[in-house]
Amino acid sequence: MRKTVSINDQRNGITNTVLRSVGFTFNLMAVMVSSFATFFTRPVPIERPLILLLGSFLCLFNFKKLWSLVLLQKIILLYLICILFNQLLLLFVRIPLGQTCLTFPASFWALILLLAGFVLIKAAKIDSPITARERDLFIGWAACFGLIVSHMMLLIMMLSKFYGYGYGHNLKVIKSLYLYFSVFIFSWSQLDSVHFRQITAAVFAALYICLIIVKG
Amino acid sequence: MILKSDADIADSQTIWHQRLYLPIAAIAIAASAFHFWPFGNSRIWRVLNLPNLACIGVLVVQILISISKKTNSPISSSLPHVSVFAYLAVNFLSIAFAAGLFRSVSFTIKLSIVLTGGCVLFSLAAANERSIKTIYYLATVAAATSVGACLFRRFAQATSSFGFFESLYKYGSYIGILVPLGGIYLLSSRKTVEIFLGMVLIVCAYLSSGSIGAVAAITSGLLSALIFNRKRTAKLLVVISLALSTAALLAAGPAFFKNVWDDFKLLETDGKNLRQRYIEWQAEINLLESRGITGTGPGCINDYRSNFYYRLPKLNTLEAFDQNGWLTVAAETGILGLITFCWIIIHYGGTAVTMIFNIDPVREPFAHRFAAAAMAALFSACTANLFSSVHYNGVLIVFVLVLSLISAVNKVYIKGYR
Repeated sequence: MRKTVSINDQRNGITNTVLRSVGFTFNLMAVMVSSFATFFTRPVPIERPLILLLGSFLCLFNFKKLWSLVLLQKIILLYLICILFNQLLLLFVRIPLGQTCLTFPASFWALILLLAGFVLIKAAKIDSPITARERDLFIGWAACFGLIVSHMMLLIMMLSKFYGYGYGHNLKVIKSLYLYFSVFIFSWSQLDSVHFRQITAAVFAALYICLIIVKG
Repeated sequence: MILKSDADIADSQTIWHQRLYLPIAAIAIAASAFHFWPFGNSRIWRVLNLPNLACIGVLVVQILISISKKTNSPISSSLPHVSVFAYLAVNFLSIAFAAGLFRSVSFTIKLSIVLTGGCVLFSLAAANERSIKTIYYLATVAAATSVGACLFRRFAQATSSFGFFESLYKYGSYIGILVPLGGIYLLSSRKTVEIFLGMVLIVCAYLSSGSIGAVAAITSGLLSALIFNRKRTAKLLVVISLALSTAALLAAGPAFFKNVWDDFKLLETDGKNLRQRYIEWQAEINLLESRGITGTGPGCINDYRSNFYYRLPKLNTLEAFDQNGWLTVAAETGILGLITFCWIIIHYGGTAVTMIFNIDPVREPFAHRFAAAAMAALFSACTANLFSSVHYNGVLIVFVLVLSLISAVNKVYIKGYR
């Protein structure tokens, strides 16, 4: 009986490790593919890549038990990842389908990779619970949504009355808010991993060094 | 050999901090009432005014002390919450997308110095109950000075000025935060004189307001005290203050209503277009469509916002400092900037509300007064941020004061460092 339980535990351990590794790979692929695309085309110009490079360097260090610095690293890396998605949101990929053509923002494909990584990590059941310190950050997302949507609703009433202004742009803003929120949800638990933070920071550092060289 | 206990070391450091930092904090708070007067036209004074100099000085001193390692209480114990540093980090990173380097860097440096230096200064100064009391009285006097100067200039001298402030929006934000802080603190007192002075302060502040932002901020602070304050007498006094203020405003008539109504009305002077302020709000939301994370760079909203009016009219009637602070943070530093700013408010607001419910107003009357007043001021700051911004030079210091007082009261009473 004990031997059976031990074998089952070993199998579960191996399964979790495989799931975790594959999830890690998917998340890393999302970052690398997005960085590669951003290097070649940047709808939003990066005026000073040196600033972002400095942010990347800060995330290369392992601060171990200094939780506040680790939290700052996670936020900096989340910001840098979201920058990539901001750029990709404005790029489109067309897929010919017979006589029609499906058009998706490039960020959609990167998000699929992040989602796959997130699902695999959840399946491995190894992500750490949200700490009390981070809980307020999650509430901050809700507050941000609430603030922007409430402003939109107030302004729609006034602007449609005076100028017949529609809500098309507001819907696009809400769409982009959901995109960044999804990036946050799918990547936040992965950013707990020191190795993921360091590798991602190295990728960003390489990207911004290349951009500095290209900019001259 | 006499060995000092940790408690003895802590006590001696508390006394040392009080003697050194309390006078500096007093100067910073008192000077904030005068805004940039009398050197308002000097660019150097606008940057290196007394409150900003106090923040810079304290940071330099504390860093030197930490480096020399001559104390067991380094700078880290008085630093603000990690949410403040997260907000500053996002501000720093968004400089990468700013069109103007000088403006974005100077804005971020100012923000960093006042947010961290101010928190360090007020945290070290508010080391015990006595020093916290002193700071509350100083803040009340500063509010009264501003309000008094404004009333004198507007009604006695019949000018359109707002005392020491050049802008009615900046003045509105300043008193919108400090008047609830001082007013609720005085109204929660047991002394009749202090209660009377609190009512006078609140009524005069309403009379001096020239903007809907000031009226809304003071009202929201008072209403939050009405809802959350556990002292029934204080709640009753808030209701009486609101009633007296309403009566005074009605008696003041057109002199008051004209300015506030001009600020509140939805139409421009041409009678056809919507107020430019609201069109500006929509432009800042539109900006998030393509620059949702990058933003425009801190302090650089003016470089980009015109591109996002689309088919809405640009009337060029927007007054200086008439800004929605929440949307501006989102537009300048992106969604993550707004989220980290909300995180600051949520953390300190949650701390304030927890203190209100955990502190017994009978057993710890002073602690409850401090907590109630600070919470009211935070609600007011959030409301003032809708019609102006707490980031303005001269207003940011009082916002930092409120955050620091919440943290100090929590440290002294809840964590038991007294």
